[in-house]
Amino acid sequence: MDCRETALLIQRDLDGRATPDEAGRLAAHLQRCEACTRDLDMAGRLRRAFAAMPRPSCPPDLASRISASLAGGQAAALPPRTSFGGFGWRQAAAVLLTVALAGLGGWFLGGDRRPTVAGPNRHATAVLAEEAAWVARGVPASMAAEIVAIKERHRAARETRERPRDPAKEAERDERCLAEVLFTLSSLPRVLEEYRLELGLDTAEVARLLSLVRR
Amino acid sequence: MTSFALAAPRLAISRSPAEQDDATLIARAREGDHQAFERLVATYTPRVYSLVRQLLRNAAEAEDVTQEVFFKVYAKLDSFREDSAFYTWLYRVAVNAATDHLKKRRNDRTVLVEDVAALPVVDETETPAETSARQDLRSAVREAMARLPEKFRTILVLRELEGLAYEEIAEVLRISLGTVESRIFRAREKLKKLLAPDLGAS
Repeated sequence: MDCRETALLIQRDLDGRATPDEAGRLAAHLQRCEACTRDLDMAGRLRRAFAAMPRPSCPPDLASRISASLAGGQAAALPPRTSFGGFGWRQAAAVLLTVALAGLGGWFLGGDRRPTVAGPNRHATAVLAEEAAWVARGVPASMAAEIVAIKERHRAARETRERPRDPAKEAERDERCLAEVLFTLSSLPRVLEEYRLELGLDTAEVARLLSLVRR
Repeated sequence: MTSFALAAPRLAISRSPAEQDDATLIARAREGDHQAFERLVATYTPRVYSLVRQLLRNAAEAEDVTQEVFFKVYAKLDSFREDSAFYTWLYRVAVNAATDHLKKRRNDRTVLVEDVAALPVVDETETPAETSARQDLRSAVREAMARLPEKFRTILVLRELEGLAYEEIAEVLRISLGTVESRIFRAREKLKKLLAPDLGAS
């Protein structure tokens, strides 16, 4: 048996696939071949290095985000299955879109803002937290600050200039604010797509919103 | 004769009764039961993410591709033939999606921003020098893997990191057992050459 064949048998033995005959021939060869013994040692070290390599940890919420996306906007692009939770993909997507747009007033302009600390710096902390959340999505820090500034600007306008409240005007402002944020994100297609899915918007709606800014 | 076989790969995927559960969930999902498909997503997302991330070496891209995999699987659920295990089919979709993504990355000439896979594992029985040497070797292995041709890297990820058996790899990659064996052999040989200084070859 030559050393080339031994290399293959070492692999088979390490993987638990060597027959008793092969294992016997390998042992006999190793007793008299220092080079192959070193090769076996290297292969063992490599195997142990692989075994010690940490497995990438999956984001704990990834599965739920995927399930939510499946039930939401992106699903509209899929071939409809027979039913989905009692009604079809397209109906589900339409309902989600309606809910998303109807809820933008309360949600998009800070309805979900949850300051992490109470006290006089609560607002600043919330702004920083929101910027950090955008950075965590893969948005550069300067763009994150720009997005938060857009939302702050619209929020301030709504709270200071647009009193008494007018639901129609509020909806218009929310839409404009969302359009500006989407426009800012348009140089980052992956983030834009992720955000689109999160909001449950279809691509046509995103195109319409972007056109509001471009006009 | 003393066997040189080391411990079995650490992530051997369970077959039955998990496969039975999968078959039930797939049947229900095909009938439109969303919760059944959600359970499949919950069960397999960590595995698909791990595989895809090791192939792409980027966390954000791995999340995108993992999502894409489940969208494809959902859309193609009717074409799944139950003569193979669900997870090998799922792995095949995942490997193909990652391969497509890598092609797209090459075509777009996107520069990969590689991220570290995970935090180092602390072994309290080691001396600092041993820990450092082990971490050096792991880093060297990671770098060498990145320099391997894609098909060698893919098969080593499936075998060494995901712990798939030869037969499972053959199903995932749709190649013969003989090809699996020879490709793993050539991949390991190439890796050993790249790592010779780190593995202490004389």
